[in-house]
Amino acid sequence: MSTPARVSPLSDAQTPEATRWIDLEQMRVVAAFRQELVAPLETVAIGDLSFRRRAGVKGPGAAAALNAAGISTPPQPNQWCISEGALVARLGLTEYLIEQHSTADAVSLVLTMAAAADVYPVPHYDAALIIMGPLAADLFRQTCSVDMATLDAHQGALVLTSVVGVGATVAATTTAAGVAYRMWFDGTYGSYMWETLCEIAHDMGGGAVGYDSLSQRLG
Amino acid sequence: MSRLPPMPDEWINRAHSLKFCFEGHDYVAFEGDAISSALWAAGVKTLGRSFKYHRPRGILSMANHDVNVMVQDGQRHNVRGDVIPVRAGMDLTAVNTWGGVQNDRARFLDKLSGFLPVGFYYKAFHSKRWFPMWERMFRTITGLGNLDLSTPHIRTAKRYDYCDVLIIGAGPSGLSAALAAADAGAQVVLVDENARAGGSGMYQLGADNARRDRTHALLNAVRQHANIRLLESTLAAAWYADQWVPLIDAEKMVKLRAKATVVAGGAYEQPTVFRNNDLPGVMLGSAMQRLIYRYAVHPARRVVISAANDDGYRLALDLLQAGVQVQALADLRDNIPASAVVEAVRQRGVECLLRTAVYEAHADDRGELGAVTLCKVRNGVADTAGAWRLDCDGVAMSTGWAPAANLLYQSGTKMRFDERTQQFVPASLPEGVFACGRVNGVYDFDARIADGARAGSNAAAFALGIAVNTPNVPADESRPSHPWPVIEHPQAKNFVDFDEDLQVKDFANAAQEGYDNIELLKRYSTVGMGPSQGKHSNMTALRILARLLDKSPEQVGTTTARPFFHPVPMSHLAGRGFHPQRRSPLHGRHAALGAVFMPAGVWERPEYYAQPNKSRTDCIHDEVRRVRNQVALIDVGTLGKIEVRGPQAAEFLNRVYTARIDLLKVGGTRYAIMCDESGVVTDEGVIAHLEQNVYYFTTTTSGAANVYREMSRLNAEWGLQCGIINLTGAYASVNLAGPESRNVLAPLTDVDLSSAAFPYLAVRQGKIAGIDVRIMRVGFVGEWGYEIHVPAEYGATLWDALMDAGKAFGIGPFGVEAQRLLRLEKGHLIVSQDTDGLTHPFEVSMEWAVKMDKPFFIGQRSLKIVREMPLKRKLAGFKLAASHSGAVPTECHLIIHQSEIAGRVTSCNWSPNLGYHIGLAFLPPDMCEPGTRFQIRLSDGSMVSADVCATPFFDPENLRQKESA
Repeated sequence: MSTPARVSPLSDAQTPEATRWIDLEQMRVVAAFRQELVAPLETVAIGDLSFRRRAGVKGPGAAAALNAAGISTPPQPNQWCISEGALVARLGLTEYLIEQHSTADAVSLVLTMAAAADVYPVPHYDAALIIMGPLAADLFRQTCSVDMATLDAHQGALVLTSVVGVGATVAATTTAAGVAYRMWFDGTYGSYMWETLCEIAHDMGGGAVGYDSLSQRLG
Repeated sequence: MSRLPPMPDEWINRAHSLKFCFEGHDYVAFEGDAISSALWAAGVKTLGRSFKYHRPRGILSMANHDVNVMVQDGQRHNVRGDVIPVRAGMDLTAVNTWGGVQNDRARFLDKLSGFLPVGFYYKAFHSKRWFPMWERMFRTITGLGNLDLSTPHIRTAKRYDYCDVLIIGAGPSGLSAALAAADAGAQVVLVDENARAGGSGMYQLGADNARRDRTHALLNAVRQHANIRLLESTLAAAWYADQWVPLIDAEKMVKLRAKATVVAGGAYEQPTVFRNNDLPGVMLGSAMQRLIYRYAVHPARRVVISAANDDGYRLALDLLQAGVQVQALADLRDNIPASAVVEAVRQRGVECLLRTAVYEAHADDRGELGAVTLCKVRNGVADTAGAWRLDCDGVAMSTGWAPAANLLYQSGTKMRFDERTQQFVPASLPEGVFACGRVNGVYDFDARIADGARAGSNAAAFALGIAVNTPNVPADESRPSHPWPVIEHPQAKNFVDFDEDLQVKDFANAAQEGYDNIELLKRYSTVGMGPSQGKHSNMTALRILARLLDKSPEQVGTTTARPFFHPVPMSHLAGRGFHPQRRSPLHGRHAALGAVFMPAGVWERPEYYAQPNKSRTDCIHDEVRRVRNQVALIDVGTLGKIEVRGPQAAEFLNRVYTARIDLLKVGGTRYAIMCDESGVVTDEGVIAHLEQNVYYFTTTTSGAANVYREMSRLNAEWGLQCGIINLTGAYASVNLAGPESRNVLAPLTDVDLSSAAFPYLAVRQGKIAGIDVRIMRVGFVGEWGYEIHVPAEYGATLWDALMDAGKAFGIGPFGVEAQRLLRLEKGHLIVSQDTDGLTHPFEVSMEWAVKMDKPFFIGQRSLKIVREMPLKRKLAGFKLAASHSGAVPTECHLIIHQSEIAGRVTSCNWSPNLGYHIGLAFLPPDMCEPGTRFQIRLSDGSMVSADVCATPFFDPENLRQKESA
């Protein structure tokens, strides 16, 4: 039996505007959108990174379990760091989100961690976005009450907040193109979030970008 | 009137003329002209009609408070003529008239004012009999503008902003505060509601250019300062906790969060109260100065000034410089403190009259100001013995101010009444809030600038946590407001509130009728309740009440200032609508199959799947038949899905649910209900014991968030060794149901589906089409079926695999309506439809699900008490006669027994499998015996007979879920 296909939680919303697709991590990902111009990357661009595999763990023993598995954890809540080819976000005192960025399989490591007291795995099949460009912080100013400009990407700052009325985790990161914001949220809000953010970004001269453009900027 | 020669800082662009229409007549304005200034320059003085008596009105303030000069601009209504700039092609009509400003047919109301006393509305509506007539009449007569219901939704952006120090008001003190705060290193936002910053420093000059030069210097420094953002035409409309301030501009609302706020909003000049003080031509002194310096318009040719402070004398100098003849300066005061400005006026030959008031204004043949009567005042009372008449076309009122303290009140500032300034000033400011300038009781020009620097420095120090040198503020001995600017007149029409046409006598009458508390007076008289929100009336009303009660203004106090203190377009408040909506991972699949979606809380769910040339009902019945006879698939991903893990997971669930979860074996599931502390059923679901110490369970769609939140709270409180994980959005789930469901599933899965290996109410983990799944054999719809849960990202792949495999068996989707009907046939209740906020388990025959012998569960104590009490109602099944035709009962239709309400219907539907209508209803226990007949009253009042019957209605032995079926 072939490996089952994964479907992005944003797929329904993206399909009408998608012109080309590629497969990444068994997920069909939009490579390019209709009328996709350079403009979004010069203003504000929204890309879908839901294909990246994620897992979570929480509980009083979560940090120790991750560390024992060779995965470093941020020293403070509301921080992220890179470890074992994965982004490790500390969402609270005892909860972590791990997103795989390289071939090293930190996510599988987490999901198969031996059951231990006070360690509870948290499956993550949520939606994941990247919002980048000179007006990225401005997009948040229309959608979120937190001043994203105060998040220090070099310090691995992240915040649990509400964006267009939906609970979301937002992290400030750096890319080859400058500061970019990563955002994770419940995938069942995916269509609403994608359509709303793209509409506002469009008003600002930006919009959605496919993975072809995104990958060049991500470096 | 006419234009003045170019003024140094005029707001108009004389190089660009605009044509517009007002009340059917064409006029020409300059770019930058306000509607009122353009009309005034064209000689039009009657610009609107008053709200109640339809009296002619003109300019009052030119400061965004002229509520009698509001116009309809196409679909925009209540456009304020005193500040809104003219656009080319505008076609304007005054609001609140019948037949136009000049020929308003409702002007007769002025003659009937004696029949419209204070509290008229309350008195009119006192009679139940006449209520409808008055309501119709008031609805016809009143109203500000015409609402065009076809007006398109205006989408305005919503925006957040941030700064260290927010300064509200860009007059001399605000500009100074901004510079001080910015120099200290703070990021400053400086807002001003006017089109251009500078405030009174640009128009209350007293012909002294040094004031303007000083203001210019401050403004230039502000514009060049890297730490300051100056936002003109922006109103700080409210103050909320944690220093949230909504900033309103022409396009949008910005929610700004500051670390510190400086209120430098200045003061509102107050009208002098005398008979006919509302005639067109009578206006505030500051309005005349705005006309001169902002719009270069002559306010009048011959002016009488009613003064009681230096501002009146400064105004005289400004008028004289503009070529206006000052007929007289009537000063209410007993003596005039020596000052340079007073001396300058005297040297210009203006007749300055002490202890003198404008007793009455007289209208000319157009109903506009033509003359005044002046008289002496002694101890605040007019002495008309030697009164004399003076022709004039303008009266300027410069007798006092009221602080623009609305935002300070909203921030929690404690105010006190200051006798010297005769106004309320801050006594105690909340942390992070500062005040300066006139709102702080400082009126001298230099003192205001110094006060601004003080406040700005302190605000920066607070915001940044630094120490600063706070400059001293020179002493200010100004006495800007007269304590009694009210001239009583036996024929009244001496207006206090121009919004609501309230006269001095109205307050006396209200107090006499017992409304002698400032809050009661406000509501009874409606003072301050009009569009200007009392900016020009509250202070005078307060003084009148204080005098009536022989109290001080401090004792009378002020009314509450609620946000927003100035009208804001509804489109700004609405902003860009954010209405979060959840969609199942299978939404696209449903849409492709023709689903008709329905809202289910924040979710969109398929109500049914439309088929060509078939009605909604037929489509639903087809889906029902498919489930009963073949196989069908429904998306149940909106159910709450929660996992509890840990050594004490069973103990935790045992406390939360009424069932014995600790006895549930691995691989088993159990239907369970949840109660609150009072024993009311709050939620239900299926709990699956997946592995040792791992439980996975569902909740109702609407209850998911609440259940997770409450469980998290309880876990924190109890401190049990377990973790709770909300998987509602992380998992997709479908229910494959029908006699052929096992045949569809078998080729796709590695799970043994035999009845022995996978019995009813079991749970198994395995793979379907290569996807890791959790499968529960449950039967909400009463058929052999499988509820399959998978990671959300595999939901669509699973759906496709099942639909493909099911083709040979006639598979199809079914929606929420079919599911509701199927479960009703089985007599299964839906929490919150067949239960309400008072329903306990015994009323819905759930005794079997409540294990009272457990040591503890939430609601147990209440249920022990409830169990001992007789039941008042019980949920029972009923059916209508098979021959029934016509209207059908729906939810909440009442059961009538012996002319009394005996219960209500909770569910009712036509069963295609049974051939008659079935339903559930709450009935008195003594009416629940099968066969009992009762009556249901429909919406149209007609009655329908129904018979109680046992449930399940369909397959009562549950044979269809057993192998033998």
